[in-house]
Amino acid sequence: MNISISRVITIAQFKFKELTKNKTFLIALAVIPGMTLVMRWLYTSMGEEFGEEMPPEIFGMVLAMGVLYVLTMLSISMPATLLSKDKEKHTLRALMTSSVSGGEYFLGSILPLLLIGIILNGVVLVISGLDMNMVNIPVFFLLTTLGIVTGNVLGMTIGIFAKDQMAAGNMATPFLLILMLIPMFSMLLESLAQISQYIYTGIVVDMIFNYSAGVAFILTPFKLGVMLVEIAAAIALFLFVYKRNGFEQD
Amino acid sequence: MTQLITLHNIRKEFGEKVALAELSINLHEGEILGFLGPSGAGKTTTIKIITGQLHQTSGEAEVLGKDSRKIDESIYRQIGIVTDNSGVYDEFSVYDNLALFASILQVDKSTIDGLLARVGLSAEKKQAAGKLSKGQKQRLVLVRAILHNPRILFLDEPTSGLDPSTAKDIHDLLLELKSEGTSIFLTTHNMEEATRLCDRVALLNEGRVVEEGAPLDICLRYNTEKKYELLLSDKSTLVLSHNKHDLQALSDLLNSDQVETLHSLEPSLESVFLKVTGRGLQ
Repeated sequence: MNISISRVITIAQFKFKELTKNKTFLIALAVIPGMTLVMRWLYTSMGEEFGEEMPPEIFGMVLAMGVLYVLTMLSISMPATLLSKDKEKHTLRALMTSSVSGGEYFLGSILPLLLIGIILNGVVLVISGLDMNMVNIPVFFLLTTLGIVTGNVLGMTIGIFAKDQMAAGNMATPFLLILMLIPMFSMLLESLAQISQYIYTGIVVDMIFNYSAGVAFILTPFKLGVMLVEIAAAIALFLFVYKRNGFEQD
Repeated sequence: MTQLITLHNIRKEFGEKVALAELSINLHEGEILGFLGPSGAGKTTTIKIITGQLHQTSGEAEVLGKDSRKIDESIYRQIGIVTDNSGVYDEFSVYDNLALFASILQVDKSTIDGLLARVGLSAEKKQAAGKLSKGQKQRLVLVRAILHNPRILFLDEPTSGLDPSTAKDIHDLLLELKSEGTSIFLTTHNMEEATRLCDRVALLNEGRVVEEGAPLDICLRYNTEKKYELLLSDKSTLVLSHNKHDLQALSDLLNSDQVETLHSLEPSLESVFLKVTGRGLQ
C-alpha cells in the first residue's frame, strides 16, 4: 500500500477542521477539562469545608476520570463518528476514488485525534490538582498515548461496521462503558481490579492511582505487554475487517 | 483509435440476482459513450466495476490498460466520477470542498475559480455546500470531477432530477470537455440526453447490451417502414408511407402548396428500445 505523506497531511488538516465543526467533538473538548476542573474544585471545597487538605489520592481520581474520558469518549467515539459520517454522506467514496488510499485515510483521520488527545491529557494532568512532582511525566505520556492509539484503531474498526453516525454511537457505547467503568471501580471491587489489570485503560488508571498514592509505578513487562498486545490486537482486528470489507461494503 | 475502457464478458451476480450478464463494450479516446437503460438495468453497477468500487463475478474489465480489480491511485488520478450520490462536505464551503480535492490530486488551487465561473458557481464560492440547491450541488460535484483534467469522466445520471436549464448548462459543459479531449462514459435513461451528447450508445436491458452504435445509425437500422408526417394547411395531419402511391400523393400536396410541415418518422432511441426489449426507458 503506497502512503503519500502529503496526502496524509492534507487529510489530517481537513479532518482537524472537520472536528472543529463537529458538535460532539466540541462538547467533548469542553466537557473533559470542564469536568476535571469542576471535580477538583468540588473536592478542594469539601476539604476547605472540613478544614482539611484533601489527600492526593482524591486528585488522582480526578486525573484518572479526565484521562479515561480522553481515552474513550474522544479516542474511540470520534474516529468511529468521522468514518461513519464519511460513509453516511458518501464523501468516503469520493475520497477513495480520488486517489486516496485506505492507509492514507486511516492515518489522516487518526493523526489529529492523536495529537488532540495527547494535548488534552497534558491539560487534564495540569488542572487535575495532583502534584506534578508525584508523576513520572514520560511514562504518563507513553502509556496514555499508547491508550489513545488503541482507542483510535478500535474506533476506526467500529466505524467500518457502522452505517451511519447514530449506529457508530450505539456501537461504541458498550466499549466506552467497559473501558471506563471497570478501571474506575477497580478501587472498590477486587474482582474488577483483577479484570482491570488486563485492560489498557486499567493499566493507565493503575499508573495514576500509584502516582497519587505516592507509590512508585513500575512499568513491568507484563503491564507494557498488555498495552502492546492490545494495540497489536486492535490493529490486527482492524486489518482483518478492512481487508474483508474495505471501509464500506456494497 | 485508442481504447480507454474495455469490458469483455462482464458478469455480476448479487446472490441469486444477475445484475450484468456477459457485458462487452469499449470506450474510445475522445468519444462520449452513452449507457442507456431503465432503472435497474445495470448502469451504475457497470460504472462501479470499471472504477474498481465493485468486483465482477467473471469477465475482464480494463481501464486505461489496467485491470479494474487492481485499480490504484495512478488510475484514479486520470479519471473523474460523478454519481447521483457523490457526497460533498456539507459544513464546508464550496471552495473548501474543492480545495481539499485539489490538494489530494496535486492541482493548483488557482484553477478552482476558473472552473467555478465556468459552471456558474462563482457567487456560491464561500457558501456552505449543504446550502446549495440540487443543481448547484451537482455542478460542484462535476467541478470536483474535472478539477484534475481527467482523461475519462464517468457520469452516472448527471442530470437526473435537474431542471431543463441546469441540465442544458451541464450538457454544454460536457460537450466542451469532449472538444478538449476528455472521453466520457455516461449512463442515462434520458433518450434526448443520449441523442444530444453521445457519439455511440449502448442500450442496456437486464444486464445485457441489446443494441449498440451511433444514435442515428441505431434509429435508421430500425427504420424499416419509412413514413412521413405532414401538417397540412387546414391543420390536419397526414402520415404517408414510402410507397409509389403515397409518394405521388406527397408530391401532389407539395406542388399544390398544401404542406405546412413535413417530418420523417424514423424511430427514436426510446421506440427502438421498446421494440427490442418490450419495455420503456423510464
